[in-house]
Amino acid sequence: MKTLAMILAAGIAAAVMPAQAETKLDVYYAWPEHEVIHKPIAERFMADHPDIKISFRAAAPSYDEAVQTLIRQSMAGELPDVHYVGFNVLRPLVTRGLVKPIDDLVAADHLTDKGYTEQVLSLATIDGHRYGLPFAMSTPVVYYNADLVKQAGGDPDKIPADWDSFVALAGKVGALGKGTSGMYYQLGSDDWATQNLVRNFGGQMMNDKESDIAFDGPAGQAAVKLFKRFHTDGAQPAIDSHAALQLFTSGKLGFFFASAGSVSGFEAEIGDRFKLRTAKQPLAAEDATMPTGGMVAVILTDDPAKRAAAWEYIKFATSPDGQSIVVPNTGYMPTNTLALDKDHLAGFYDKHPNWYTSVLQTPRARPWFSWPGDNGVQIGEVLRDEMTAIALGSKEPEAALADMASEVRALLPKTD
Amino acid sequence: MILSVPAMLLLVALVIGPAILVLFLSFTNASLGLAGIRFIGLANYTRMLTDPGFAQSLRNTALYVAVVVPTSIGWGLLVALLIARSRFAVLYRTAYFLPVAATLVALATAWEAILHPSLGFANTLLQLLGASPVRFLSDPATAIYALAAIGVWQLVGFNMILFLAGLSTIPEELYEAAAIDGADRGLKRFLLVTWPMLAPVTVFVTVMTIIRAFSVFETVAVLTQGGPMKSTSVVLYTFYQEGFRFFRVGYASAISVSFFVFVTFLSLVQMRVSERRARWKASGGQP
Repeated sequence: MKTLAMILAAGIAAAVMPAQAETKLDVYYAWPEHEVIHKPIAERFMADHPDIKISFRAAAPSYDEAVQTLIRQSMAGELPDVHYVGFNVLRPLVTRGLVKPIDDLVAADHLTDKGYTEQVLSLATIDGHRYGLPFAMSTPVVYYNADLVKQAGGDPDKIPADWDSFVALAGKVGALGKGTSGMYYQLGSDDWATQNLVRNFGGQMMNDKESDIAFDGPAGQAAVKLFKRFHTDGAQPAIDSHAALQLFTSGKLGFFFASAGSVSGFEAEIGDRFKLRTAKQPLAAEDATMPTGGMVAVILTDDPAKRAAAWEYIKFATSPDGQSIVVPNTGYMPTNTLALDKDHLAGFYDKHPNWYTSVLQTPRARPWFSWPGDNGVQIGEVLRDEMTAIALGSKEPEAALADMASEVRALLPKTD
Repeated sequence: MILSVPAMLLLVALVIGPAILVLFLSFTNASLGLAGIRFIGLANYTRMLTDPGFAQSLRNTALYVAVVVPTSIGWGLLVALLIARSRFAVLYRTAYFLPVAATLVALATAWEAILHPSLGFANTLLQLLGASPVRFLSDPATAIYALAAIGVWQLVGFNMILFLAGLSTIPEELYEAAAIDGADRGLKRFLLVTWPMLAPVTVFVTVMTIIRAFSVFETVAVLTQGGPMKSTSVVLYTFYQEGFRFFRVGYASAISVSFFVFVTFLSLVQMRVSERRARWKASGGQP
C-alpha cells in the first residue's frame, strides 16, 4: 500500500513538474541569414536547460525593419521576449520604453568577472543604464584582392597603414586597366561609414554633452576631403554599393570597405576566384576610433519567470560557448574576452587570419553613435546623401559638409 | 438588403474604416509607438507644400509618369496591331505578357545585373555599338529613366493584352465597308476604323497606366532606395520612408490622403475628356 502511494505520488509529480517548470521564450532577430548562428545557440541552450523552450519568430530583413515590427507589436501587446537589436537602433527602442534597464541583473551576476569588459558593456549603455548584453560586434575592415594588389606592385602582406600611401596604391590598382577599379569606400544605407571616417581623424559626431554637432570641425573637414580623394586619386567608381560589391566579388576591384561581419559571406561568395584578404583600416590620427556595428541581446518581457529565463539565455548566447558559434559562422568579433582563449576561438583564428583583423581593431571600437531625438534614421540618410554628392562630384567637400551641418541641426531636438 | 449586411460590415471594417482613420491621422502629429497624439490641423499639409524633399519626389514621379504612360501605351498598341494577325501571335503574346505575370521584385534583381555599370549586359551592348558606358542606376541624371524603362517593359505586355482584346471585338464588316470606301490598308484603315473602335479600351488603358505609373514603388525600393541623392525618390517611396522608417505617421497619412485625392481627380478628368472625345468620334466628327 505504501509503495503504491509512493508510485502514485512519483507519477503525479512527474506529470505535473515539467508543465510547471517549462518556460517558453519567443526570440526575434534581424537578418534571415543569421539563422546559422541563432538555431545552434538555441539547441545547445535547450539541451542544458530542459525547462526552457526557445522558439523563433520569422526573422526581420534588417535592423530597421525589426524595430518597425517591434513597435507595431508593442501596440498590439505581442512583443517577443528576447530580441537582438542593432546597436544603432537601441536608442529609439529605449526612448519608446520597449527595452527596460537590466542594471539589477548585471550587478547581481558580477558580469565584469566573466569576460564582459566595461568597453563591451558600454555599447549597450545609455545614460548610465545597462539595457542588454552585446552579442556580436564588428568594425569596418579593408577587404582586398591580393592578386590585384600584387599586379599593381603593392605588397599583399603589408597594406599601407596611412591614407596617402593607401590611396596611391588604390590608384595604381585602378590604373591596371581591363575595367579594374581601385577601391570602394562603402557608404551603406545608414551613417556607419560616415561616422567611421570622421572618427578616423579623431573626431566625433556631437560634442560630449550632445548640445551641438561636432562633425563639422577639423576632423570632419579632413574626412570629407579624404572621401573626395578616394574618387579622384584612389580610382573609386561613383556607383552604388550593390554594384560595387558585384564588382569586387567578380575580381575587378582592389579594395572594399565593409563590416567585418561579412567575412564568412565574402569567402563563400568569392571562393577560389581570387585571393581574398583583410587588413586593418589605415588611420589618420593617433586617437582614431571606430563605430562598432553589430547587435545587442535585449529582454523585452516583464514577466519575472520569463525575464529570469531570458537572462540565462542571453548570457549563454554571449558566453564563450555561444560566441564560438557566432564568430566562425559570420565574421563578427566575440563580445566576450574569454572566448578568445585556446579552448574556444584561438585555434580558429590561427587558421583564419581574415577573421582576426577586426579583433586587432578592438581597442579602437567605440559605440556606434546614435542621434538624440526621433530623427536618427533620417539624419543617417542626410549624411549619406551629401557624401554621395561628393562622390558624384556634384558638390565640393566643404559645401557638402556645410549642408550636412545645417540639415542635421534642423533635425536634432531643439535645446534652449 | 439583409443579405448585403455581412459584405457591408467587412467593407466598413477593412476599407472605409481605415481610410477614415488615415484621414484623421493626417491632422495629427502621430508617431508610431510614441504615446500622445496631438491635433495639429493642417500643419502636415502645409509642411508638404514647403518640404523640398516632397517637392523633389513630386518632380521625380511626374518625370516617371511622363515617360512611362505614353511609351507603354503607344508601344502596347503597336505590338497588339502587329501581332493580332500574326501566325505566332500566341508566342509573342506570351513573351510580352511574361513580365506582367512574374514577380516584379525578382525581376528587378535581374535588371540590376543587366544595368550593372561595368559588368552589365546593357553596357557591353552600348560599347559594342561604340557608345560610352552609362552608370544607369548610379547616376542621378539617368536613374529615374532607367527605372522608367523597367516600368515600360513591365506595362507594355499588360496594355498589349487589353488592346488585343479590344481589337478582337471590332466587327469584320467595318473593315469590309472601309475597304469599299478605299481605306483597305495601313494608316487610313487604322484611323478610320481601328482607332475609333478602340477608344473605350484606350480610355481604360490610359487610366490604368496612369494610376500604375503614379504608384511606382517596388523597383525604387529594390533597386535604388530613392537614391542616388534622392533622384529616384517618388511619392510613394517618400510616403513609405516617412511612415515606416521615420515613424511620422501623421505626415505620411497626409501624403497618402493627398495622393489618393490626386489620383482620383486625375482619373476623373482623364475619363471625362476621353468620354467626350469618344462620343465626338462616334457621332462622325460632328460636334
